[in-house]
Amino acid sequence: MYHYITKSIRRLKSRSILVILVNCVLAVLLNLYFGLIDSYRTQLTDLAANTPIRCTITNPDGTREVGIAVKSDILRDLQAAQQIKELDCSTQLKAGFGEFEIARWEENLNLDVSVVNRIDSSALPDHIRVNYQEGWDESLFAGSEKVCLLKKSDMEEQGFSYGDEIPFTVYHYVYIDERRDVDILELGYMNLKVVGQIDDSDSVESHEYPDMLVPFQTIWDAFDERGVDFTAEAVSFYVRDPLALNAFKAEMEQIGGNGLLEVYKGEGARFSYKGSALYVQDGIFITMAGRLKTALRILTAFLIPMGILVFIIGYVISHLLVNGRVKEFALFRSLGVKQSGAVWVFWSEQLVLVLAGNVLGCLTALLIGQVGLQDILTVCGAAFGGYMLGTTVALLWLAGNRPLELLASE
Amino acid sequence: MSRIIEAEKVSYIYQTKYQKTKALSEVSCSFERGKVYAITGKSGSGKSTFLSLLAGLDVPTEGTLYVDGEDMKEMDRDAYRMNRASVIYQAFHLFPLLTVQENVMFPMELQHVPQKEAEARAKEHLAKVGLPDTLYKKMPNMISGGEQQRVAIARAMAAGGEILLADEPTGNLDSQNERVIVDLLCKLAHEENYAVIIVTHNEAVAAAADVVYGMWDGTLTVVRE
Repeated sequence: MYHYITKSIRRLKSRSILVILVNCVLAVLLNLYFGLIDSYRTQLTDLAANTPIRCTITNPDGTREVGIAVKSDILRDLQAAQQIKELDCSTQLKAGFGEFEIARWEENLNLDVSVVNRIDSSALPDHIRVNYQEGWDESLFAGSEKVCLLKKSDMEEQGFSYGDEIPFTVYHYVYIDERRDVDILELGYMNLKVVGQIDDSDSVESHEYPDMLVPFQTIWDAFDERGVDFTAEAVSFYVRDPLALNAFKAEMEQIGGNGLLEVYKGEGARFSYKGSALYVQDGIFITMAGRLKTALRILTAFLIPMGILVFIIGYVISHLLVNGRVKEFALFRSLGVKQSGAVWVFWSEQLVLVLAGNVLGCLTALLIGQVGLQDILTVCGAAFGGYMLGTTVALLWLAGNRPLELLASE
Repeated sequence: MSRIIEAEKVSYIYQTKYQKTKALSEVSCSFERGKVYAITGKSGSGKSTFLSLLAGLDVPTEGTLYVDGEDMKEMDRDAYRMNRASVIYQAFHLFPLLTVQENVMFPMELQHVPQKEAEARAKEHLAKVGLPDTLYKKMPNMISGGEQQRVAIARAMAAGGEILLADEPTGNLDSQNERVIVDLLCKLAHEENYAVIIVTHNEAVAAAADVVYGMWDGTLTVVRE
């Protein structure tokens, strides 16, 4: 039988080449199709990486993103949230060197303090330049050490050096909705070690700089120690996976117990300083991702029809080829070859040709495409399976005929 | 002479989705080794149907066919065709992709005869049917109808069976080739002890047979014994 298969492939050259070519083209086309799907998927993933979705905590009517009061239970939940990244929390304080009485605040309370959890916080000017004492770096802002950075000019004026523990009297802002006003209250006296300086030697830009930088958690702890409610004045972050917006929104619904109300800027609500709403800047991402997702949906909708098409091609071609060889099949039966044996001969012959076509298709796809070898092998495997399924059905149809009828047909 | 096939009240009904046709009706007869049998009758009388039952390509709807006393329904009919009964056809039906010699070797390949031995025996059979060795490597479509039928007979001989069934073996041949083929079939029966059963409506072929049956609307009668 093996000889018969090899002779048949050799002697029916044009038919064999046709089957090989059809399968080669089929494998290449399927690889292009799956390559296109893969490319759209990559674009979508890249879009998620390159178009970050920024979220900001705002007051309920969305009119204020800074100068609001974001409660500590919201902050705590945001710190533990799984669906966000690059949490940026800040608050502003007033401070003065040393200890002084409230009555003398006007001449002493002259330091603007920015309390941040990262040096690239949106609360700080973009171009701010800082230097650190040896052994310290920007990671200090994520910690809770009792440290600070002072303006270089202030340090020179006061004669401070790195490592000095400096006493401060600190005041904090309190936002009052009823009066639509801001109060300033004393937090207390605290010592902070100087571990860096804000380089304000450029007099043009430095007027925007705060006088002092302190880690966010350090101040939060100080509030807690004194039993004062702590609030952040500005909070923003990014969605960890823009492709999982639903999971993100579900998590946001649990933040701070009641969840964050999602607002669209400009929508009416009673004015408040409370930072209890969330503004998600996902418009651009949703528009761009929507287009890609639609394209992907259309392409993947053709997945089953493509499978059926491959099966039909396999069936039709095998049926046409086998139709011209029904007498050979009947002759096998007439000579005592079992039905399964006769089907096996034709099936194996097709198997060899289809495999050869697929190997050629794989090589061509490798040469022309950007699809990986594993993907190509998977696609070719699917093409091979679909085609051979069609072949099997065509041969089973043939096997259902009476041999003598097949031999009698002219 | 020993009896090899016996038909006992064999009936056959062709059944399609829409109709039933009785092709054979209670046919009883027997066939012996070493004899040539001719079954004559008009087209559609049931001759070829009976031949397909004798070849084990189908089984009777009713009645029994015995081969050496064994019920054909209980037999491995594929093995029966491979080893004991060969069929030759009016349209010769050689494998178009195999050479003359390969066609004759094919049944031996199925029986797992070693290649060298099969080649030698194929040549021997081709010589017996009077085919010149210049034709051995030719493809079937390159030789004449008479030559093709001789190859078919050589292939039947190569299978090494004892029953040769022929369906209008001279139907596509001229009178000269017809004579050659009939002589060959008679020789196989008389010298090599085959039971040769020929379905034909050619009187000259029937005249050469030892026993002649007539088939009429599915019933079999003895014409000459």
